[in-house]
Amino acid sequence: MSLAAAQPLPVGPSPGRPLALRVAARLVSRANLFWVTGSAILLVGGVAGVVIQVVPSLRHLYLDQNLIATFKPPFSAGHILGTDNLGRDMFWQLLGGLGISLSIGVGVSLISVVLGIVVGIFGGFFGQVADAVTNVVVDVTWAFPAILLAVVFAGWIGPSLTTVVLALALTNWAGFARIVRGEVLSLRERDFVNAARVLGVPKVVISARHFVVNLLPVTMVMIVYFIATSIIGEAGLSFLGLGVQAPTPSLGLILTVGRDYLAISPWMVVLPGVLLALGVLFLNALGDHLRDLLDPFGRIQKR
Amino acid sequence: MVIAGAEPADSGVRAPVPALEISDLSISLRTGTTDKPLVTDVSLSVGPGEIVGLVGESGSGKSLTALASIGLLPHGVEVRSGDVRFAGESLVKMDRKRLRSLCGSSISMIFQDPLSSLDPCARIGNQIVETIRAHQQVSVAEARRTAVELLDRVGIPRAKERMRSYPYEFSGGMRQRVMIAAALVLRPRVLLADEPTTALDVTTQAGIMKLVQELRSELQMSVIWISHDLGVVGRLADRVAVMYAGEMVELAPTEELFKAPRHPYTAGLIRSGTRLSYGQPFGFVPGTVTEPGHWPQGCRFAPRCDRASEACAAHPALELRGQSALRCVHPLGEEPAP
Repeated sequence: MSLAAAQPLPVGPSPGRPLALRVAARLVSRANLFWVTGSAILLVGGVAGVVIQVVPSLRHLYLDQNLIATFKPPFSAGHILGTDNLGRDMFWQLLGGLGISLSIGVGVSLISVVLGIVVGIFGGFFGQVADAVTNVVVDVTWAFPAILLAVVFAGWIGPSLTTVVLALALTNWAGFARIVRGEVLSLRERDFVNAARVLGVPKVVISARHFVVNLLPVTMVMIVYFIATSIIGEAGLSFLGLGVQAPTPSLGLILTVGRDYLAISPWMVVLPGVLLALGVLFLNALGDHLRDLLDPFGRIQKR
Repeated sequence: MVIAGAEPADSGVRAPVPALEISDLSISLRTGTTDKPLVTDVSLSVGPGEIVGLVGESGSGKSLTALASIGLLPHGVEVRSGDVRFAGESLVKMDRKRLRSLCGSSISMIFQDPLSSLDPCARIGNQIVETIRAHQQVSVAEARRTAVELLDRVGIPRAKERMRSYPYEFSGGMRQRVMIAAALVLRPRVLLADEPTTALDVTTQAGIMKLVQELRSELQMSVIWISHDLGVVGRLADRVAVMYAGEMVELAPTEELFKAPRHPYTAGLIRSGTRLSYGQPFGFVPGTVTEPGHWPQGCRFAPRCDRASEACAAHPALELRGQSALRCVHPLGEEPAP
């Protein structure tokens, strides 16, 4: 074709590094090093917390009891954060609890996000009947307290880690479904969706190929947010005895036990409480920065 | 059942069988109980391999006419009466599933803005491949080959590499070529082009037009080229239909229309596009298009027309004369356009 010869266009800027790396680089390079570092430390702690529970030879770190060294305050010899009522090391207990919290957060996020995206796209893109039905389902779910659901699950399959994940995920997704639906309502009017439909691309393919990718920014922010809320939710449910059971370490569980010894050993309550607060704070800040990074309009406003 | 591939041999010989036939199409906006007409009684048939230009000011109903043909009217806007037939089959009454399968493979559309018509988050290649695979049971590798071939054909240099590019890495003209490639990948019989070159610069515009002309003669593809730019349409189209306020006012072979426009509005449009000599101001049509819902009872152009008389108080019917049509009681006759 003659047209090809007439237009020797230079190839556009080719992104050298993959997108994930570029986002990560921007995340660190911005003036939020404090928050990013904090979140990174939390993450590393969480992973370590999971590792010490998964690898059998490391379990002694947080499981080993020493009844002649109970209620040691922080900075005692051999126990940097002290020991609990059974003489178990608080540092490893908290690390394990953080690991449990984060893995529950990730599990809840994944389930919520997948459910939310599927239901949200279904409601927003597959006709008015689908929309009406999903709206009712979302409303009912939204009105359902996680604690009530946890009680139901605890009675049904017994209180456990699974109970917590299911109870939180099956209530959380509804909020995300609503956000996704809103995004889809605006996405579906975009020209590229019309263009794809005119070219006969089925709705399911449009949903999977175009919607999911274009929903990524809001999804990533929501994942971080869900992890933060799940950590609180898990602590709450475990505190009430509906969640994780001893001897699995959990921030909520440590809080419950610590409450009984508040007068003689306040750090059993203070330490998990502070960790919980810091974790959620850092995660929320991370979510905020992610949003700024991924939302071009938010970025313009900030400058 | 008439399959797209089976027909061209037939229709090529018998010219009267139109590829796309719009008959008495009326479209209106429904809000609650009110029913506001947006397009009334548009009839237009496009023969195989013919390019028909559809011109008119913004809001004259050009795009709606095209969108109705492929069942993509905005929410609340409906076809009230009339029909659009593709190879004898009604597209308006067709069930959605069948319409979807025709879309892309038999009827395609290119939109005005090539940036927004491509998913910013998807690679160029994937968007074409997905169109192919929506209609044909072929492997990804095979679909990719077809896509590369076509991108090459529409003048994307190093098409194979550029399959992996994202839309933002392309210029406007390149994006429009990608859109054209996606629209033509299944060799449709009918192409609806909704102001495809409006957002492009003049040289790119010329390239796209040349491409469409080549493909037209190669594929025997019928084209409805929507534009408000008479210059573009004049160079490209075989026939031109002029729309004003939701109805067709004149239809004529291109040369005839430009040499001797009969409707005063057409004459005004042509005048406003040409400068008679250097230093002279552009011509223009005084006033603006009447909004839908406020159309006059009689001739809708009468309020802006310098030839209007009492006779224009009655709504003029569309008079057919051979290949042409006219809706005016005081046409510009043998006298040359001022």
